[in-house]
Parts: sequence; C-alpha cells; structure tokens
Amino acid sequence: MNSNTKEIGKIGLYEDDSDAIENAIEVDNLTVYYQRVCALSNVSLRVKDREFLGIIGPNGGGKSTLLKAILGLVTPYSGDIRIFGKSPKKAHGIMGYVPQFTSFHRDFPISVEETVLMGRLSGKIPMFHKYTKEDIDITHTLMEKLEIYHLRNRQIGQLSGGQFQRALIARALTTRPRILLLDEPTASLDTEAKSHIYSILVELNQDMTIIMVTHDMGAISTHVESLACLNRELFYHGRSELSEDLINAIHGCPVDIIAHGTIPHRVLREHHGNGGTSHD
Amino acid sequence: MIDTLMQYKFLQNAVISAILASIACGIIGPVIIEKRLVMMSGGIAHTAFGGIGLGFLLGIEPIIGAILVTLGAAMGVVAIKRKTSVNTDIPIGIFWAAGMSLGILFIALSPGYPPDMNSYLFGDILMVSRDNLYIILVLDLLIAFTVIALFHPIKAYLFDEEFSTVIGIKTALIEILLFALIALTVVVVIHVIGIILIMALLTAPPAIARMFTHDLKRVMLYSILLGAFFTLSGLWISYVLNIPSGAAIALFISLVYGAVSGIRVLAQRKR
Repeated sequence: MNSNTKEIGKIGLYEDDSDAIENAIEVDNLTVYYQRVCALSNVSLRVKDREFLGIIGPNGGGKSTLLKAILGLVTPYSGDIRIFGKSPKKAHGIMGYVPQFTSFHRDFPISVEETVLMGRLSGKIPMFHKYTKEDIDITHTLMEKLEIYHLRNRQIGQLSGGQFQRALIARALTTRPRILLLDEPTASLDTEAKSHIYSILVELNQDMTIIMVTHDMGAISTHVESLACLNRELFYHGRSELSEDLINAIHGCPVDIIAHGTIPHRVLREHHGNGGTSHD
Repeated sequence: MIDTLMQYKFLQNAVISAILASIACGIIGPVIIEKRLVMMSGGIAHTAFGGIGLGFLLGIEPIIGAILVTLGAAMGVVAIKRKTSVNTDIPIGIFWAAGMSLGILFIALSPGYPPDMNSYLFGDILMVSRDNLYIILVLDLLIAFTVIALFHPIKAYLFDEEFSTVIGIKTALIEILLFALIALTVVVVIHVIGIILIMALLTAPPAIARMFTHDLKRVMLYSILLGAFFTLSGLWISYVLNIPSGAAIALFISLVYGAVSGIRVLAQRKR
C-alpha cells in the first residue's frame, strides 16, 4: 500500500516544479505509537512553502497526531521530520499553532487580549517577564485585522466560537510564523463563521504555508489546494480536486463526506488559479 | 479575643500561621483548580502523613520528613501524569492510600510511645511552634517568589500547555516546579487545617474568587484574602464554641462555599 501512496504523491500537485520551491515540511517514514497503539505508520509527506494543505481522514486516523508530531509535541517512534531543514523541537517561532478550540477550558480566567499576547512570550523559562510595547502593538494590530480588538477585555468564555477561533489564530500569528498549523478550525462553527475563517486563511496563505486538519469537505473543495488522506497510513497526497486518484484514496480512507452534504463535484478548476499562482 | 491574642504567644503563632497558610493556598489553589489537579494534589497531600511518620521514625522534625516525602510524591505524580495517558485517577488513588499507610507503618515501627497524630490529620493551629513558623515562612516566601517570577509562563502553561511548548517554553520544567510548590503548600497548611482537610482550603477560596473576577492575578489575590477570612473566622469559632480548629475552619469554608454557590445559582435563574 505504501509504495502505492508515494506513486500517487509524485503525480500530485507539483510534478513539474518539484525542486523549484523550498519544502516547508519534510516528513519521512514517520511512525508514532501511543503506548501500544499505532497512530501513524510509515507516513512520508512533502509540504511546499506556501502550500495550503488539508488533512482529512476518519476520527482516530492520526490527523491530530501528525500535526503534533510536526509541532514536536509528540515524539515519533521512528522516522524524520524537518521544518525548513530544522528538527521540530528547534523550530520554535517558525510554526504557529492553532489547537482544537473545543479542547479549551473556556472558563479559564484570562482575557482575549492576554490570550493573544501569550504568543509573544519568548524564552525557555522567562523570569519576571513583561510584555513590551512592541508585543502589545503587534497584538493589537493582529486583533484589529481579525476583528476581535473590540472584544479584547472580555473573558474568553464570553466569545462566540468564531470569535474565539479568530483569537487563537491571532495568537498563533503573533509569533510571525512561516507555517500555520490548524486543528479543525471550523468544527462546530456556523456557515458564516466558517467562511470568515476560510477567507482569513486564504489571505494568510499569500505569505505562509497552511496545514489544516478538517472534516469539512466543502472547504477542501473550495479553499484548499492540496489534500492528504490519513487513516494511520497516508492514503493520498495530491491535488484536492476530485479525481480518480482521490476517489480511490478515499476508498481506503473513509471520510465522512455524505454527512456533510457537500460532495465535491468539479468545483476546483475555477478557484484553482488562486492556489497555483501563490507559488511564484 | 484581642486581649487573649496579645497575652498568649500560641494564639499569635496561630494567627500568623493562618495568614501564611492562606497566602500559600491562595497562590497555589488557583493553579490546582485551573489545571484540574484536585485529585493529584489530594494524593500528594496524603503522602505527607507518610513523611510525618518517617520523621518520627528517624527522630527528625516531622515537618522536615513531610517536606521530603511530599516533594518525592510530587515528582512521582508528575511521572504518573506523563506516563499514563488514559486514567490517572487509579494510580493516584493507590498512591494516596499507600502514602497514608506508610505513615501508619512508620509510626508503628517508631520506638517508644506513639505520638498523637490527630494534630497532623485534622490540624491543630494552637500547637504551631516558633520553629514551625519559621519553616512555614521560608516555604511561603519560596512559593510566592517562584509564582511571581514565573507568572506569565505559569499562566501560559495552565491555559494551554501545548501552545506554550510550541513557542519554546520549557513546560516540563514549569510543571515540575508547580508540583513541587503544591507539595510545599501542603506542608505549610498541615498545622492549620490538617492533612485530611487541606483540600477545602486549597479549592474553595479560588472557586469563590473566580466567580468575581476573570483575571488570574486577582483570583490569587482574592483567594489569599478569602483564605485569611476563613482561617481566622474558623479560629475564632473554634475558640468561642470550644471545638477543634481544623474542623471549625473546614466546616466554615464548606458553609460559605455552599451559600455563595446557592446564591449564584438563584441569581442566574432570575436573569
């Protein structure tokens, strides 16, 4: 199965310019175990600089695990991960992380502004740390851009799902990352909030690589330029438009398409120019 | 009571130790409830009994024994927390019982007359000696200094451990430090309220404080003030009604917490 995967990967998005663009992320033969449970098996993946990659797959298929391995939060059993040539644990500041927002204790005593400022913390064990004027300026600018500045003094539990998600994106951006990694950024958001998040991501994609774990097939077909199907193994990595490869891949990687009601029919062509040109 | 306070040294010691315990609990209590560490802290607290037993067995100051053993237990709990991905309640529960049992065993093995363990289990604020007070003061300063110095990274760790790790903060070290501070807090509070009643003073003040503020610094500050109010009121109640001080404090805390929670539920219903 695995050699097959690599073949498919090769005839994917970047067959013609595979060496022209720097790889943002290189994952080679990554295997991750949780205790005795194999979460990821022999996954290899190249993500180009400024690619917009969607990771799909069933629950427990290892999507979040792949993200966490790239972030250095999970130690691989075997395999190698490089972030612009660096190991994950040395890549602080290169990657901005937007965790699954359903995993938060929303009653934590922290304001929106403090949450976003957190991204500006630096150092291993910063003693008597104080945020500088620059930190606060950067934070305020980002909050204005993401339309949460007026909410800055609210406790985070008083935000809507979309607002909180934007705060988490702002926090990740304060580190000025080259790669943004998001774990289900639109889960349990309404349609309007979802499209707001996607428009932000598409804009950010102009100058950074974006990797997004998602269940939202509608987004895959319209916003995301490349796709990885993960069910313990990597079943597909390539263009996100519907193709025979993708259909075959999804057979091995059951994705909950029907429940979401948006089966991706040929929707990508007209949108695709956007993703393609951003590499120049 | 003020006259008696001026007159008797043991009462002064009691008041000072109550305030010192409130400071430690006010700072560490919010850490425990925000990070959902109540069960783990309970486990650490109960191993203090083993430490006190060890102190008697070795013929050293029981509180020093408690410091050593709770610090060791805290590191054990950190290890359990990291290695166990599913349900830490089980190993912590066993830890909890084992810590208590060791105390009983050590006391049984100690030569001579068995000491009165009630004051350690249920607190006896009137028994706090000057020497104890100095130890408590040093521990208090250590706790306060560490949390003030590392306030931002601690807050980041409490709120979002993974993000903090990604931006380069040594969260593993912060975690070890915080668990060590939990252990020291337990030791500070033993005399005031006792091992078994500690959790009341650790959890209720921050639980009430966070109803009134959304700022972690203020939660800590209000918790200190609430803790002082609880312990001193409890002390007064125990003096007036002539009942054991630890129980008086813990019951008073429970009553106030119950009342505040009840009023809050009613207020929300009206809205």
